[in-house]
Amino acid sequence: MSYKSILVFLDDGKSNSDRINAAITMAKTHGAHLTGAALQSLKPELLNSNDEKVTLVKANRMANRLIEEFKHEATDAGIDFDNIVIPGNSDASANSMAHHGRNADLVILAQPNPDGRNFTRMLSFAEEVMLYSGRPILFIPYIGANKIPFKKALISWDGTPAATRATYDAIPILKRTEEVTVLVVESKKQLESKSDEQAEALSRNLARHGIHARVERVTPGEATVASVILNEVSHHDIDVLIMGGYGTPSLRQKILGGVTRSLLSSMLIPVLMAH
Amino acid sequence: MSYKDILVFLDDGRSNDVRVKTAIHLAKTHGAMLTGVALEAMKPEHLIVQDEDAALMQTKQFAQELLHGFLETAENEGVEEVDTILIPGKLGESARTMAQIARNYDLVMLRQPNPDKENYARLKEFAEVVMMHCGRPVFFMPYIGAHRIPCKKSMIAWDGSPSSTRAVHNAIPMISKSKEVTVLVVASKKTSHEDMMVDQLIEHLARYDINATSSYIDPGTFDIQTTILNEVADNDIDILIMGGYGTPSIRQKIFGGVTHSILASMIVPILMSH
Repeated sequence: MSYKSILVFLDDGKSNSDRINAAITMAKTHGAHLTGAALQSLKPELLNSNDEKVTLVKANRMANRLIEEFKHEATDAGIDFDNIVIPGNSDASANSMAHHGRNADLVILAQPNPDGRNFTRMLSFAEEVMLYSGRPILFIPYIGANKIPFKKALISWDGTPAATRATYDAIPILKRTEEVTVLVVESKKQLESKSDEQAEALSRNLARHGIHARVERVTPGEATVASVILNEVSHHDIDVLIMGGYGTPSLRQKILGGVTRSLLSSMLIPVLMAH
Repeated sequence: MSYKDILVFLDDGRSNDVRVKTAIHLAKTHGAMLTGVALEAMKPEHLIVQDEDAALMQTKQFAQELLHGFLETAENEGVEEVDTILIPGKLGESARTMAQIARNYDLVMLRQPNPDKENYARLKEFAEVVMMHCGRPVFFMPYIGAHRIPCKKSMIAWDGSPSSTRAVHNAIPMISKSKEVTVLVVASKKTSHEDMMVDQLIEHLARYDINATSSYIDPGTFDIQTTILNEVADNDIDILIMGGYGTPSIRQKIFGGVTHSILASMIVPILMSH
């Protein structure tokens, strides 16, 4: 099983080249079509201007430059690709990106950098694309990612529909890793919802897809679920984390769940999320 | 791309035989493991018992019989890996348990509740809870049985929502084996040509070697569900693929209007994802 089309988001962040690199590597291994998408109205990080017209011209120029860079890399790699520039302000562009995302098997986005100027916009962009596209999103950390292709994967399993979708959507990635761990954080809520017993069933089903996963249980004690997950990630030297992304798409003011949000801002490795 | 693990719901309804037959067929074509599941608390239609204990004993026994029958049929038909699960507890709890179990399958096969039967409300709630909470694609077999198995002509009811996107992607193993695939868009204010990006969807499906065509229908004075059902009938469709809507957070689950009425009046199998 492979991804057949991948959509990658382009920006002027530090992780852009790593993101393109990851996207191209994946497109190559999966034999997938790759689409690069830049935003026409994204204000460049280094631009110090409050003049709207100047910003718009500069943003436009940056989008074109990003596309050129992407084309160059993709041509060098010899993959099947195309590119789009997405018009519109922050809301419209997120919406349009989600629309394009619907027709991809995987959408690669940037983790918003909490110290970056575009943080709020990029966070709501990421949330909106995840909630409205219905497709799995791979977030590349803002510090970059160099362990591509992934060798060790961790599934953060809480038995929710979102985590279930994330796991199944990740099968093409999981199949190409060497080690897969299903992590169950045994919080009170987890024990009540019996997701505990289901972890074994999940690993059995993954085995039928040719993926051999090990189940690991951790009692969080005083620590939060997010920090337990992050600890496990660094402890086991994990290359990619798979988890459900929570949020409420029906409210105009989108709110990602606590664990999702804190992981999204503090993770150091790529995370694959599905809503 | 194939389904590897299929779960099929067993009961005493009229569609049970064809449901099992379809499940067996799918398991064989996909090389999947097939698991039959029965509810301990599912009261057979013919059973009239007032005493609760006696009723429970009867229903338990009945569920066991269903599982035995299923196991035998599946093995006789040559399915390589077969398993059975008996879900204990009351009907309300069993829906939750079923959803939890269903999470670990690639495809979940349920039945369409029959609006003329006494157990309609219970079965409908059961189907809703399972679909909303399992996160996996659910295949609904019509209570009158299937039109044609294997499905040759598929129709995707496309409205661009996350649910219908998931339904399409989850259906790829199913529709890649059908001869004709149509992407149907019912024109409305919410489904502008530009937003639906149907051409791109068709292009994406083509990467999975699925040749789909598109069809834009102006519903005129009809509502969306009637338009979809008309198209299904007019084009001799064998399976409909669509998003299933609802609000899982509200205790009293309310299926979206279109989902609800299609589920009540469909006459072909439906593959739904929430």
